[in-house]
Formats: sequence, structure tokens, C-alpha cells
Amino acid sequence: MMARAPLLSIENLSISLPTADGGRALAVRGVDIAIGEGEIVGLAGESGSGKTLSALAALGLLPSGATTGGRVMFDGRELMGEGGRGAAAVRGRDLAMVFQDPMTALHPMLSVGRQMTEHLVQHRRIGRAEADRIAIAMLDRVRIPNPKEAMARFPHQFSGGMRQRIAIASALAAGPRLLIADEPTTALDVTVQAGILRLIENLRRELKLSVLLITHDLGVMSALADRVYVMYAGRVVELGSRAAVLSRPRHPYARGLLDALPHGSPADHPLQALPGSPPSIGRFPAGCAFHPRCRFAEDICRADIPELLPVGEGHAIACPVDPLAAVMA
Amino acid sequence: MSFLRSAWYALPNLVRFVIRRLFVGVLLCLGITLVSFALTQVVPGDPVSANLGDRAASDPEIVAAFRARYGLDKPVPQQYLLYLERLVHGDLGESQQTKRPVTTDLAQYLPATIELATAAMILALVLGISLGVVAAIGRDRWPDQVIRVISLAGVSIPTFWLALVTFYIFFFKLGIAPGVGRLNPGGKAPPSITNMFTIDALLSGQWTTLGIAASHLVLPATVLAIYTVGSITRFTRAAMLESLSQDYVRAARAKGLPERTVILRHALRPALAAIVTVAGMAFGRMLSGTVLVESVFSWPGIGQYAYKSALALDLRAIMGVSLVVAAIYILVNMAVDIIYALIDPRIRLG
Amino acid sequence: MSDGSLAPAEPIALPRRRFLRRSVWTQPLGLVGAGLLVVIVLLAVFAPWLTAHGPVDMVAKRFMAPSAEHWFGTDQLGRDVFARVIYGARVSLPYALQLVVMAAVIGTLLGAIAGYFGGWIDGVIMRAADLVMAFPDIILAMAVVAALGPGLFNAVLAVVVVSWPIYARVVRSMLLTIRDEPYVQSSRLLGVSAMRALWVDVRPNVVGPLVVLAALEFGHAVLILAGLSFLGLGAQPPTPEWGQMVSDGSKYFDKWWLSVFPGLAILLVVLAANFLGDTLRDALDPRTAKAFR
Repeated sequence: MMARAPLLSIENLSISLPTADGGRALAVRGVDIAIGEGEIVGLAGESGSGKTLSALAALGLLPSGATTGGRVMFDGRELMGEGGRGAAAVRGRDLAMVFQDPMTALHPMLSVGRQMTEHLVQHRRIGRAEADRIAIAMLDRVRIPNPKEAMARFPHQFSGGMRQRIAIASALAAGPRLLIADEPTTALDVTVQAGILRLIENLRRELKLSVLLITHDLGVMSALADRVYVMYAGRVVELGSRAAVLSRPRHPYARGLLDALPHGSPADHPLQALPGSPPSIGRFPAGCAFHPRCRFAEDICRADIPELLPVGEGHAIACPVDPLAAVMA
Repeated sequence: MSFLRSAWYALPNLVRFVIRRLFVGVLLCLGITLVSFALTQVVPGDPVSANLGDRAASDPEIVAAFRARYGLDKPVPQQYLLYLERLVHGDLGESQQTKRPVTTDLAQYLPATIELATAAMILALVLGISLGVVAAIGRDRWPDQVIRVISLAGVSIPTFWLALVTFYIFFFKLGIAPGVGRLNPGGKAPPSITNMFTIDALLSGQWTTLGIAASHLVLPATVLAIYTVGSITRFTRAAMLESLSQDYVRAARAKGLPERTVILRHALRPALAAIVTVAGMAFGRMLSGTVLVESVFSWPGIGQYAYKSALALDLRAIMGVSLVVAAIYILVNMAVDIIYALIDPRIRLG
Repeated sequence: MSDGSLAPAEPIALPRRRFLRRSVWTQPLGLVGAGLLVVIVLLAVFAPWLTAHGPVDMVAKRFMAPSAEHWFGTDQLGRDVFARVIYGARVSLPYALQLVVMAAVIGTLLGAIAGYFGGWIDGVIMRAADLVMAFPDIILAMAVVAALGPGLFNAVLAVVVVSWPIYARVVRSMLLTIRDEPYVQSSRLLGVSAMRALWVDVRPNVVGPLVVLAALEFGHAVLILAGLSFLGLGAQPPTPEWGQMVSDGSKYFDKWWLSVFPGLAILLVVLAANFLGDTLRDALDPRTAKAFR
């Protein structure tokens, strides 16, 4: 399904973090993710599943003390290794990121204009006036009213939704090819969320942008993503097209996530919370990390770490039992 | 009332802030007069005998005249009002030791102290902020550990002892520091403008005098700065660590800005705002420290004046000094708050 | 709950903030500080067994430079400087401790009253704290000493006047944060009296941070008392007090050992207290540590 080489490919990525007691813990364990040109790829999972860490690794922004294995290729370049110099060359220029909380991700003491242009001047070696022109055009594109005046204002003078638009505009001003959006709507009101999602969708079309969308919100995921990866305890447990993963999930965990969502008809589909809570980094259970919470778990789940195996066109799950095969296929 | 209120809110945010801060500053100044008045009341010891000496205090006529003159025969609240009234007229009483009005003495000695403390503060800010930033960047690695020990040592060294030891080494043993005082023996002071010799020499173009005055300032200012360097370093480190962990710093890195820009523009700027506030408070402790430093270096400032007054048990003079120093402290902190408001767009633009 | 009773079947274990991280006792700086303090206290306690000379005995020629016989030399009266420095710990440490305890008790009481009652009482107490903090500590202490007369105990009283506000601030701000904790709220809902809640829920969370604060303030107490003695307003001769010894020694400028050793003793004690206090503060719960600013 992906004829050309992907724009970004994360291959066999592992990340270990230092722990409070001086040891190390593996937080990401052999993850493969590929994003094509102009594609929106969703990365779902609960907190601690390693989804944000994987994205930060691509940008070379892992917390100090983290060590990595595997590789990250961006348009034929290796981003990890060389002391992060590979990522430094593309960061902010070809690869941009927006964060969860627009209240804290914009600098409170720098004007919007300054935050929109400082990296432009840096990366593109252009003058102030030219950078201003690009920034104003980008603010206009993300539907900030009076973009010229907005340049002279400060973040606290805008609402949360407007700030997220500014953050996105700032990330996109340098003309990146891939945008990593880490829970871009989680901190916003529901009504504002829809606007931001529509904006990302439009930008993808207009700018031929690829997007890595990180979210625990499957509703957001189903509105935007072309393909979806579901992570649990530092591993990808299911991947496939949006239709496959979000309407016919095969992995018990993905299925559980979906069942925990309020659906249309409550009568035949009672809300079901996943029993238990996700394991924290360093305390991943042996075998399939999901087995303590899985009602289909068998002996093999406790013993072996399951491989990702294809179950359909571009659809794969890491579950040797595959209890939902009959129901879902 | 409602007109006043709407007029008040029609004012620009910054103006409102400054007015409010000035108002609080004036209230605090009034407060310190109350505290210093209360202290003179609470503290045991007969002000009559303390101010007149035993011979005069045994003469009932003189005592009565004294009591009447200072309103000591009136009820306490009224005494406070009288005290305030005298204060407004710049009357802090007469120094028992110099036999001059305390106000006159303070006017003479204050510039030397301000010169010394300002030089020390500038030094402390430059050193403290640099060390703090380096420590925060190298968090938990060796630069951080070394700087931690240095800054803890800074707040642990007895100032008076450091003054003696450095003077012994640099003047007595090595001969590279000038002697005590503000100028060389017999040196002529520059024309009196601010009475801060370095500034006056600069303003009147007396370069030799400037050099001499500055060289006399180096050692006392450094010694005085050491404690504050320690505390500003510690605080800068904490403030930098806090701002380095903020999302906006991560966002700046994600934008691909060079690390130097991220640290100096994005992380240090908000930290600086907090550091300025702490520096304002540290200034108070620094003014205290002048007592010890000035007495070792024979620096003719209010610290030495307070010291000599304390030895002579000259309560009026010391209360005058502490009142003036407290007022300076409040004014400096008020100024700092206003500067802070000017720096921070969240306050400036509301 | 099926029987309709509201009483919990088992006593609810109140989640108590662990105020120190466990790793605190592996911090080298803290260990050095604690070790130094122990050694200094031992030196003070066993002073008579550690030196053949008393602190005020004139035992040798005047102004002897440091030697195997007199490690720190002898002073202008022929007293052994080493003995005086060791005995000096018996003066400085207890007075500094007294100062810290008095300031902590007064500050805690006022801070607790302010935080507990709130309203205008809070306003009055905290504004008074602001005002006292505006006064330069040494100069105000000098004023008090000038009024009461010189002497170490008067110096302690003087410094207490200017050092209680920090404790009041910390206790008040801890009280305010703890008051809103769910478990304190819930015990209030369960009808526990306010005083009892203060004692049962709040006290254990305040005592630890207070000890840390006191450790940090101890060094400052030693410094300021030594400073006042140096100025001639604290300890009076022939008391072997370190600040006073430095001051005495400074009159004989070329006899460096008279001032250097007592000054080093001050530095060592304060440094040890600060090493320990700083390590403890670092180990505090971050929310608690905020109150220290």
C-alpha cells in the first residue's frame, strides 16, 4: 500500500530511560512506524505507552539520560545517532511539532511575531521583512483574524483555540514536510477541537503535509487519521487503516479502548471500562504486556512477547490468540 | 464612587499597577515607622538617661524639659504622631555621639554605602546569574556539583572574617590592593556631585581619581558581594531548571533554534524576572552586610556609622540608620516590581 | 455501606506526604555536612579531654606562632588558641540553637494562627512579618542590643525579633496547601474538629519541613551571632566566642593565626549546616519546597 519509500520511518526503535533509583527502564521496545508523503498517521495509546517518546526520539529531543536503539529515517537521512546531529539538521525546518497545551507551549514573554519568525530567520537565512510576510500569510491561513496586528500581540491576549492555531502556524511557517501533533486538541474545549481538526485536515491538503497525530482520543483519531497505530507498554500492538483499526479492531486491547468509548446505541452496547490500569514504565509484565488485563489471555501470552502478524490488507496485530478473528473479520 | 471606579479601570493596566504599587510602598514605609517607634517603646531602657547621660538625667528640670520637648509626657499614640511629624520634617533626633542631627550624619555617610552596595550588587548579579545558568545547564553533572559547593561556601563564609583575610593577603602580603578607606591617604575627593566618588570622578573627568576610587572599591565590594553571589546562584539555578522544563522551551527546541538562543532568550528571560525580585530582597541583607565590611575597611558609610553608634549605645542614630535602610529596601523592591511589570507583557498589557 | 452506616468498616489510612525522598541519605554533600556537625559537637562535648589547656588559662608566651606544642599558636595573653577555638563551640552552638528554637517556636505559632484563622488576623500577622523583614537584620539587632546592653543572650533576643517571619511564612503557606488536601477535607466532612484536624493531619506534614528550615537557618544564626560579637555587641571577653576572637585577633594584624582559626571554625560549622540543610531541602517534596522561596 505504500509504493514509495515513506517520508519518515521509525525502525525497531527502543528507548530506555534512567529511573529514580539509578537503574534503567525500557520505555519503548522495538517500534516500527512509517508515514508516507501527505499521510496522516495516528498513534494511539494510554499515557506511558511510549507514543510521545517515539515522536521525541525522531526530533532528537529525548530527555537527557535517555538511550536509544534502532534508527529513524527521514527522507533518506538517519536522524538518530551522531549525537543527535542528524535530527538537529531537520528539526524545525522539515520536521515540526505542536504540543498539547497551547497555554504553556507559547512563550509568555515573546510577541507572537517574534515566535513566528525567529526560526524562519534562522533556517531560511531571510530578512526580517520577508519572514514577517511569511508569518502573516501563515497566520492568515490558520484563520487568525487581523494577522498583522496579531504579530505585535502576546500569547496571553488570545484564547486557547487561537493560541493552538498560532502554535500550529509557528510550526508550519518554516515549511516543514512533517508535522508531529502531540495531543493537539486535548487541552481545548470540545467546540474548539473540531475547528483545529478541520484546520489540520485542510493544511494537509493545501500544503501536502504529512502528520503524525498522537492522541489517546479515538474520536479525534477517527476524524483525521488515514492509518492508525495502537501502542501498549512500549510496543505497537495493532496497526492498519482507520477503517480496519477503528471499526473492526482485532487486538483485545484496541477492542477494549473502543468499547470504553460512548457509542451511538447504549442499549445493545453497554459502556465497558478496561479492567485495571496501564503498567508504568519499568513495570511491564512479561510476555504480552496486556495479558493481566486481557480476558482472553492464555498461557502463551504470559510466556512470549507476541510478534506483529498480518491479519488483512495492511492490517496487523500482535496477538497470538486472536480471539476476535471470528467476530470482526 | 462608581465614577471613581470606572475612571480607575479606564486607566491603562500598567498605570494602575504602578499606582497600586506606589500606594503599597508608602503604606509599608508608614509601617516601618510604626515598627521602629514600637521598638523604641518596647525596648527597656529609659530614653531620658540614654540620651542625656547620667549627670543631666539626675536634674529633674532638665529631664522635664527633655520629656516635654520630645512629647514623652503625652500618651503613646500621640507620641507616635509627634514622632511622625518630626520624621516628616527630617528630624530623627540628635546623635549622642556626633552631637549633630542624625539626618545630617546620614546624608554625609549614605552615598559611600550606596556606592559600595551598588557595586557589590552588580558584581553579585553578573556572577550569580552566570554561575546559576551554567549549573542549571549541567544539572547533576560536575559543573553543577562544583557550583553548588561554591555557592554554599559563599553563604557560609563569615563576611567580617573574609574581609580581614582578603585584606591581609592582598594588601599586607601581596601589596596589590590599596589600603582602607575610599581614597589614598591625603587623597583629594572629586567635586561633590553625588558624593559617590567613582561617579563624581567620572562626571568631572578626573581619571586618576576615578582609578584610585575604583581600586579602593574592588576589595570591599567583592567581599560584600560573596554572600549574595551564593544566594543568587542558587536561586538562578532553581528558576532556570523550572523554566527549562517548561513546554515553551521544548517548543523552542522543536523549532530547531540553536541551544544558545533557547537558553538565553527562551529560558533565561522568564527566570530573570523572578531573579530580579529575589535580588531586590537580597539587597536588604547586603545593606546589613555593609556594617561588617565597612568596619573592617574603614569605609565611611552608614554601616560604620551604625557600628560606632551601637558601641556608644546611641539608640537614636541606629534607629535612624535602620529606618533609612528599611526605606531604601522598600523603595528598591518597589522599583524592582515596577521594572518586572515593564518586562513582563502579561502585566504590562494585562 | 449496605447497612446504611456511614462509618467506614476499617479506619482510613491517611495518605501522608512523605516529605523526604529516601535517597537523601546517599547524598555525599549531606553526609559530609552531617558528619562534620557530629564531629564538631563531639569536639565541643569532649573539649576538656582534648586539650590540656583551658580556654582562659594563660599557659605560654604571648603570640607564639602555630607549632606542635600549640597547634593554633597563642594569643595576646598567652592563651592557647586551639583550646579557645574548641571551647568556642560550647558557646556558639548552644546560643545559635537557642536562637533557632525560639524563632521557630514564635514563627510557627504566629504562622499557624495566621493560616488557621485567616481574615484580618492573617493580614495583620503577615504584614508585620513583611515589615520586620524589611529591616536589615544586623542593624536592627544592633539597635536592640544598644538598648538592652551588649551580651550574647541579648544578641539572641535581638536576632529572634528579626528572624521569626521566615518560619511564619513557611508554616502558613504549608497550612494553606494542606488545608485543601482531599484527606484533610474528608476528615473535616467526617466531623473531626478543626483543632484535632490541625494536630492529626497537619502537624506531621509541617514538622519535617520545619526541621529542614531550621537546619538552613542554623548556619545563618551562627553567622549573625558571630557578626554581632565581632562588632563587640555579643559575647564579651574573656568568653571564647569565635566572632569575638576574630575581632580581638584583628588588632594584631601580623599575627594571622589569631583571626584565621576561629574564623575557619565559624566557616566549618556554617558550611556543615548548609550542606545538610541544602541536601534536605532538595529531598523535600517539590510542592513543600516551594513554600521555602
